[in-house]
Amino acid sequence: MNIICVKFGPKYGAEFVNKIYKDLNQPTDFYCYTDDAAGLHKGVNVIPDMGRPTLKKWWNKLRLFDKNFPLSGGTLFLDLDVQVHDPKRIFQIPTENLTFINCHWKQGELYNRLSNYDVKMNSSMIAWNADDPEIHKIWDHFNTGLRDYYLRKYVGIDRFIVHEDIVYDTFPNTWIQSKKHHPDINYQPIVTTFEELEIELKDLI
Amino acid sequence: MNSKILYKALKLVEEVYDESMYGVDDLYRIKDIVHSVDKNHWESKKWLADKLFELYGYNEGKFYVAGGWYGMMAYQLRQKWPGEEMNIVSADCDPMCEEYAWKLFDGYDISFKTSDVNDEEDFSGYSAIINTSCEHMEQEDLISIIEKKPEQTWVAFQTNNYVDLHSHINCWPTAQLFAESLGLKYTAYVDTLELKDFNRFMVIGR
Repeated sequence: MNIICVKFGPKYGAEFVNKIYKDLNQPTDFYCYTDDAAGLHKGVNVIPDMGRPTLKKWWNKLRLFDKNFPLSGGTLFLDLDVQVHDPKRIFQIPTENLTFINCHWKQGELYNRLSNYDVKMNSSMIAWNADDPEIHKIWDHFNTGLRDYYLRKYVGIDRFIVHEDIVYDTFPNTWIQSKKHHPDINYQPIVTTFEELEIELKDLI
Repeated sequence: MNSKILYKALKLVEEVYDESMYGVDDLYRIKDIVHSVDKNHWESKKWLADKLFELYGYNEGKFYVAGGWYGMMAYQLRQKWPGEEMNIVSADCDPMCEEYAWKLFDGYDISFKTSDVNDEEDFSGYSAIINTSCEHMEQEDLISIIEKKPEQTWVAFQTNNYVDLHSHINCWPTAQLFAESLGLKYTAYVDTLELKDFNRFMVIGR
């Protein structure tokens, strides 16, 4: 299985990538797609910015679905504000289907509205098969004459995925903890996501 | 602002809402259409039309508006060049822009079409290429437009320093740096329009 992080812009430094790499016991197939490889551990396989179309921040995560992206087979993406608790279980995560985090903490009718801005999934952890042509269609769909419109409309890739009717699965709820929405839990998650929180590296230790 | 245009924008908003009930659910178009006729866009596009009119010096010609969105730039040009001897084409790669532009600016003798400026190979028939969407376009594509155009064809380009939007991939800190980046053989005008939250930069030349 490939493990990949995406680091674009100055918000998160190389130390965030290196921490995940070390927490996973320095796997061979660990990649970082980035516009700045300075400071990355030498064991991290760097995939440099693939260039056009120029994308900002988290929109570069969509590039992972490009058929020309240099990865093959089962792949797991982790955001840089994710804390890994159990590296063994990480490598057992199925990657046959496109899978995102289910934001089960977002309850209420508000989230069920057709055009709701806030969606009930997030992309802090994604699993997929990089050889699946259906995955490549996501990138192709983004890169139509509507790309600029999507960037204005959706702000992030989660809304793009949901509102452009991309088919996906979700991980079991007990695999994920949201530090912001579920600070106290009675199960052992695989990862904790610090999504929607401003964090420093020490918060992940 | 022209109340007739604003009324048509309201009717478009109504149409988008009606469509969301029975067909395509794309309510963000409402916000996008409203943005396209707001004060900032109205003034910045009028600014371009006014300055280009001073420099261009003819009543006739053919203008190509790249990234023309819902047509406000083309409309402002038509206000300065009302005669049929000026042919105005407004192109955008988003197909919905063409559909809504025909409704927003019908009766102004503007040709709206769906086209990516990067796919246009022949600018030989155009006397000016106008682009107020430079902040949304790759820098090398702006250079490519300049390289493809005839030497005497005018360019009037605008960008801004509003870097916070994800769709703004080609912002510049000053008008002068933007002008230098284009490498025009002749630069006639470089200036800044100070808006409430950001600055808009314009370069006109050949």
